[in-house]
Amino acid sequence: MTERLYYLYLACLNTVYAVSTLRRAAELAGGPEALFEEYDENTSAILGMRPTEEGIRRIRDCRNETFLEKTEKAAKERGIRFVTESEAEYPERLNDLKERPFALFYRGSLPDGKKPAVALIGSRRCSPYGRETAERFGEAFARAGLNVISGMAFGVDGHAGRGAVTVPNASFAVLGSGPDICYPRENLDLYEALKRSGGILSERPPGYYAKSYDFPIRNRLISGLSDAVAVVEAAENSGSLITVNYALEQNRTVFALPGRITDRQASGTNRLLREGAEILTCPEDLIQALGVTVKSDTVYRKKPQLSGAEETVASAVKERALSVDGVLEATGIPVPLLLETLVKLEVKGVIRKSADGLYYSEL
Amino acid sequence: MFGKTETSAIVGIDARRVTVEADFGDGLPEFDMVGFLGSEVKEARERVRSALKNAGISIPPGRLTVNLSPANLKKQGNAFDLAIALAVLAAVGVLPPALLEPYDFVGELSLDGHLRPVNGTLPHVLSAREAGKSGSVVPKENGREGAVFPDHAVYAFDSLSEVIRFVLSPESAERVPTVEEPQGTQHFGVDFSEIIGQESVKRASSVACAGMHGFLMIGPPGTGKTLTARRIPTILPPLTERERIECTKIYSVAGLLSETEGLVRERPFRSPHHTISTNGLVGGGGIPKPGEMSLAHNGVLFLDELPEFPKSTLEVMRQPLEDKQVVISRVQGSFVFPTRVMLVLAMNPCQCGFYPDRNKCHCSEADVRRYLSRISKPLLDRVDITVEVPRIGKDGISQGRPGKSSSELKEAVIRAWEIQKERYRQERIVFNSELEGRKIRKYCVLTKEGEDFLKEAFEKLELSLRAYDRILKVGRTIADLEGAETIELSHVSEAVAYRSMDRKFWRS
Repeated sequence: MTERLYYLYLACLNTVYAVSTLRRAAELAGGPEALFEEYDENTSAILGMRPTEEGIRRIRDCRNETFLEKTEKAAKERGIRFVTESEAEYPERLNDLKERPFALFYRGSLPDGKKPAVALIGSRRCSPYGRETAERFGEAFARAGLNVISGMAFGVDGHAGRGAVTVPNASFAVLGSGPDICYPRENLDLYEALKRSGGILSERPPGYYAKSYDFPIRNRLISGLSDAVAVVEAAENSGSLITVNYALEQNRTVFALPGRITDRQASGTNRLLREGAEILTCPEDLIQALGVTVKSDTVYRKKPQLSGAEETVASAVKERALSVDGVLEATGIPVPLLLETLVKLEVKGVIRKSADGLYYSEL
Repeated sequence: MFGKTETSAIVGIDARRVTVEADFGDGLPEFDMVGFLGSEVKEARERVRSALKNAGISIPPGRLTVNLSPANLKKQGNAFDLAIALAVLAAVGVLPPALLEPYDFVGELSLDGHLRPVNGTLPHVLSAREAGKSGSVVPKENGREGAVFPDHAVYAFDSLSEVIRFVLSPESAERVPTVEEPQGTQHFGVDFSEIIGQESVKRASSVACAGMHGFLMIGPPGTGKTLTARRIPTILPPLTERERIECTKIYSVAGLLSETEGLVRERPFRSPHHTISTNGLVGGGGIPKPGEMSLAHNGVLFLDELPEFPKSTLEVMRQPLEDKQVVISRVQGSFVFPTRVMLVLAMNPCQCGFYPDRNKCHCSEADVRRYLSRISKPLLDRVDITVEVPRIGKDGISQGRPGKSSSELKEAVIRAWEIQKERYRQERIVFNSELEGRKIRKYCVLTKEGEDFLKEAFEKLELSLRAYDRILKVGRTIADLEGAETIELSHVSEAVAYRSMDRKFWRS
């Protein structure tokens, strides 16, 4: 049996036992190979692996060469690859992680370790503002040559991924489930896009459906794979703050986007700022902090030619997000022409309409 | 001896001619009625017998047979009593048959000989007029409703004896005067100028009216969705004579006309509650009655809180919306009710109504999605224009101001209607919203600029493909509002603004 399969065995057991438990057990046994060969479901308890019913079943099922071979083959057939911690392609950034996974399963590609990486995360229940900002920052970071890591969850994560996936091989998602399970299902479009031109990573073997406790565990990889963590929107009790805690443990810089004091979804990010997080008011704040120098025309799209009315409307929206009535009051352009101009500006990528009926200026 | 009167039977919203024959002869005293009668018509025998007696007329003993023809038409309703009573009077020799001939008779009798009101007077009167009768005799309460044609006299009476007196000496009674039409503009009691702000919604409403496009408003509670909907009839052109008769017939059959009114004057506005049954919506019942869709015929059907309507209720609306009529089949035949309505829909963006305001809305993304998915997709396919109705002042700037009044908006709509009427003279349609397939290609011609823009917009805004035809149709209407021949860039880009529902943030 190859060395890879021993690590696959550990990754399979990882769905029941914590990484630290397995690591200690492997150490006591004298390596992954020894653990596999010498300890079955009855004797593994000696190594501190608690003989729960689930654990016994899992060891009995997985401690089987044919099963592991089959798993490897099935994954390969479905375009899922995996890299073990003993191999060179294993992301270097994860090496100093305490709870480093034994193997990473992935679809698409692994993030290029030479490129700086940023985790762009935030609340699942984000505001339209958060959603727009996540997409814009995601795209800007990707254009600047950064890898954008997120969790492909609802809200900020998904939109960050969507913004970044417009640039090839710059958007990566770390899932709580196996890499072949698209959760949440509504992000299937993003999932497919990442498969083609980015990557979907997971420490869980294919076919594994995530339990609620898998997501916080997964978060350590989001911060771990990045050089910096940027929080777009988070309430006081947001799961994103778990990722921030991991980031601090892992010695990653934390950035937070300031928000209005009245917004619930900004209370978490504002607190981070108070506690010393770096402030993120434009993509450059972070790009420069990572030591990347880019010209602003790579980060931002080229400014399109605007007509007189378009210019007036664009500058009004730039001032602050406005509803149609607001633009009307600010510009005085008659309604039919105004609606027409707003659509044209959207198509030109100058402004963006959001679900709350407000128009936001693009970066 | 033999007597004969004429009346009519309501089928759907029309009345079919019915002849009542009565034969009186020797034999055991008996009163028989034949002619495919519903149970309420069979009971007329008892009412007629008592009413005659209490009117002071005694029927000599003998065999009396009444036949309502044609025999293959099921007779239902309470409107035959008067005609039966008069035919009997002719048969027993109290009234000369020739005096009954010029008139048509409808009305229910009470036992003491009084005339009771009936539903569907207008269709009765219409059918009498078409049959060449010189006048119709109706119950007092129905007089106003029937008296709408100068060339057809309507006489309204309180009791059987008054009718007999009239038949014997027609000059003794005055015909009911035709209803005086109040001159000048219609008064709806509401006006668009009362709505402060929401300029885009007002504009969208007038575009929707101009092409009779289905119209959906999405927004949190209290932003003026219902307010806007109620004002939509005020910017639709006034009813034509034909439309007024159609509407009045429907209301007449449904028994919803007031005693003082003649023809319906205002475009109907119906706003059924979401607990309505399918029958209530499209019509139905043992004797089919028009539903809300037909009551809104030639006007506005407004469904507020759209996702609260059961899917099954909304599904049944599809066919009537397509065909502009409901066909209800019963053993005794098919009933057709017209349903040419402008569909106006309103909904909250989520269960609590405040999405995407995350300070108020605690719904999860999945909840929002579930809420939106409750709406039947085929129904949404009938919606050409979708707008968000945002909370005013959300951006901290817009306070809103009173905009154009209904009459200003209406002028533009009237012009657009005339252009469409002219353009579609050869077609079987009236409005841009009714364009389909080949006709869209034929009539919705884009300028090159417009076409390029639309292609780009589709890509950039990630519109769904089904939006394409709808954008063309709405673009056609906007061009008509401006009197333009082809659909120009400015028209098509405004049309794109009305496709929120196809936008990604509502879909994904």
